Amino acid sequence: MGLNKRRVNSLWRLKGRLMLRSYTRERGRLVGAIMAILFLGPMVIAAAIGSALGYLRLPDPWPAQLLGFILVLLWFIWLIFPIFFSSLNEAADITRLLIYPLPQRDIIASVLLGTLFDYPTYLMLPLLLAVLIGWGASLALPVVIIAILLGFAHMIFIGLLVGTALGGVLQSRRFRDIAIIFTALLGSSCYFLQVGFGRLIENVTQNMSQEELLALQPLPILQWFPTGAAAQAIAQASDGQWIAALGWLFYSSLWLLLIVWAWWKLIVRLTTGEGFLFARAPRPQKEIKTAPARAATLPIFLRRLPPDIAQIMSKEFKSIWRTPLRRVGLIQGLLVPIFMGGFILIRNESSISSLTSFNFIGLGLPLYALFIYWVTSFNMLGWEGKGLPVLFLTPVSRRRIFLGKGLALYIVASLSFLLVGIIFTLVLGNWVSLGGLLTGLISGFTTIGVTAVFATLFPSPIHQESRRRRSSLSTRGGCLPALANLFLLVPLIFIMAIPAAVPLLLAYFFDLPWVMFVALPLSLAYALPIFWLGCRHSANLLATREPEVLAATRVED
Amino acid sequence: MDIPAVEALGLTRHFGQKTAVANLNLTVAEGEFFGFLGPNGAGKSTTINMLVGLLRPSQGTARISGIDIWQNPLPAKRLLGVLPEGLNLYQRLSANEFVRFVGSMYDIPAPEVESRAAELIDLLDLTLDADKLIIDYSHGMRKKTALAAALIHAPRVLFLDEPFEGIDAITGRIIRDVLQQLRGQGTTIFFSSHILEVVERLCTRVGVIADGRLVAEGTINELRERAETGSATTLEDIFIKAVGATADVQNSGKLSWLK
Repeated sequence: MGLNKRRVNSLWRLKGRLMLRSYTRERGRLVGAIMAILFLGPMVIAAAIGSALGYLRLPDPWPAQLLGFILVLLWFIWLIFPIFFSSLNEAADITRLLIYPLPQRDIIASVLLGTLFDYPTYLMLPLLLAVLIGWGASLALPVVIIAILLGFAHMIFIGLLVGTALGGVLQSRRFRDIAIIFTALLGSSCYFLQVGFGRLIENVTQNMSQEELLALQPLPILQWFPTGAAAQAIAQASDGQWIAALGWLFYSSLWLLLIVWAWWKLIVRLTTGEGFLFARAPRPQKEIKTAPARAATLPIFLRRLPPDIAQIMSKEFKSIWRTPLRRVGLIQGLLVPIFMGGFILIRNESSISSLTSFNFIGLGLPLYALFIYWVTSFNMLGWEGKGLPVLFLTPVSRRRIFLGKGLALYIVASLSFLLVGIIFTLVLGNWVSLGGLLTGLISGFTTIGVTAVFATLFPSPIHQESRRRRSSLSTRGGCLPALANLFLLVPLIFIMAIPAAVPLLLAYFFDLPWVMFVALPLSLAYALPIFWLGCRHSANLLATREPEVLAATRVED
Repeated sequence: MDIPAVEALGLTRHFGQKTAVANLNLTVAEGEFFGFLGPNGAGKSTTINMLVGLLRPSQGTARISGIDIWQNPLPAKRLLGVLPEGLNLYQRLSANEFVRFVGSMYDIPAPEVESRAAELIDLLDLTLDADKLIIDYSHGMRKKTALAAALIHAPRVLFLDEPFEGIDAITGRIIRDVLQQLRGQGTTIFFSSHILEVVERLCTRVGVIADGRLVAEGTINELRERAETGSATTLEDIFIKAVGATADVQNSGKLSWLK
């Protein structure tokens, strides 16, 4: 029984239509795709040209080694790709087709054809074309073509398998939360990993002899991977070892069958509610409680505050801690100085001793504080997500909403800042860094006062369940909030913090530490009213534009 | 003269070229159980959002117990309880936390919030899951949580947008009983629903909106008389006639290829 061409054509066109609409309805995706093609396209073409030259010009056995390396690397990239980029768009979701009487082969064929609508496919093609150019000009051409097609199918289906497995994992909110944090942190630590990897390569190449390096032929290991076997088949065929080549093609095909089978099985299991990997055992019946639910109590340090402000602060703490993307923001803020410090240490182990001799590094702490307070508090209304209408339906004073949110955000950001600031102050051990720490804490009030006003004037939506940290800096909320946040908010935060930093700057330039400690209360006397005025002004603004703020922050399901 | 609980005065809302609600005038007396009916996309939720201060009207205004919600939003909102269509909830709070949080926004003394929240959660059968995060709730549980939050301050006027949509019979029964009790205590209820049988059973008066215009208003008996369809007519018949869909309904249900 063959494929039903009409059905496959319909499925293929459905995927194309959904894909096209995902780009036209969500401009951010389109911009992302164009940027990816513009950024990665030239790199891929350069790599393809380089690899083709390598296949043709390198002495034996290196062309075969290079081929194995590239095909396995591509396979790994496709394996990892869904972890970072699967956004569960409906074009890729074939589980919706399972209610229709469609044979498995039609769906699989349409999935393979549907990859023509995925731009990553086109990023892979130049490298596969290079294989054809490098190895096809011989009697081995049929094997090369089969191996390339096999490799292509391997890459598509491993991506689908991982994507589906991830979808299964993401059905659980706890796993989804962990995935959000993991993805965001891995993305943000790429720079550090790159530095570490560079250092590793440097060590390996410096410490190994030429003979040892030449003995590092990866193909004997890589051939056991699905696409490595395809590479070995090409290498064997070009040496005239036809039986061995067919053997490797057969081995690679078995892998493909296994992966396709596992993918299909997983889809069916997830769709029919059999659970991810293993069937779920029925949970024991919970004992029914008859007592009323446990009362939620406020933390001790909030109990002396007015109840509405205390409740708003308490809600804000819970929301920050329980929303993975907000937690990621805080962790990323902490990672910046750790990565920078780590980078300095990797480059030069003696840097730490030289650091202490530079007083001016302490002046950087208030700048870091501005960054932390900004990252934590900007678009504070957008972060309310679906709960914002609840807040706006209540009769609580809008000034108290901003005071509650502002104080909660100040405390959270201060904890992050203090963690890093105290370490720096202890390491540097000078009065400038202590002054920087105190000035940073004070400037947090001016920063949050400013961000509160901007949150009301330029709010934008934030999808809290998204797997990537999106913010007002993305185009999702439109261009105006993004531009305002970058070009107005950041300079204004800096300008408003300058008066608070005057005592530190005066003390530093005239080398008079006592000036700073005497004048710091004046800084506080400046910063606290700015915070209060910011909250009051935001509340006045909000009173005239609540429906507009709601419309601007609305998140579609 | 008694002050009406809800007044819509020439409410109009445009979305670009489309007029979602056009010059809507409506009065709901105190203690009334008012049913607000209309086909999908007729403008029911848009009207409710304008009445409760979540969507700014292009023209006109709304009053809650005589207070203009667009001039004096906070005093008006003090009187309101809202179960919105989108069930706006803080997804990362539990029902326990959410209901108490909303209660504390209305200046209710903390012990009172505690006892009311516990009672509401118990009544709405949320006790077992009250400490789970709302993000993990089913639709029915979310609806009950939103209803508990809308009721905790004992509002004088309660707006319910499709309270019976997507919930099971047991939950529906619980909500209906709560609404009956509120009605008995004199709470004004403004209620939109597709389920005409529920509207017929609960509401003292109904308004029908179609294409953004109020096309019928009155008690069910009054509408029956106006529709001249006889006493045996159901609310469904009256509704279909009021929205002018009689011809559509007569021609529907006939597929040429089904024999």
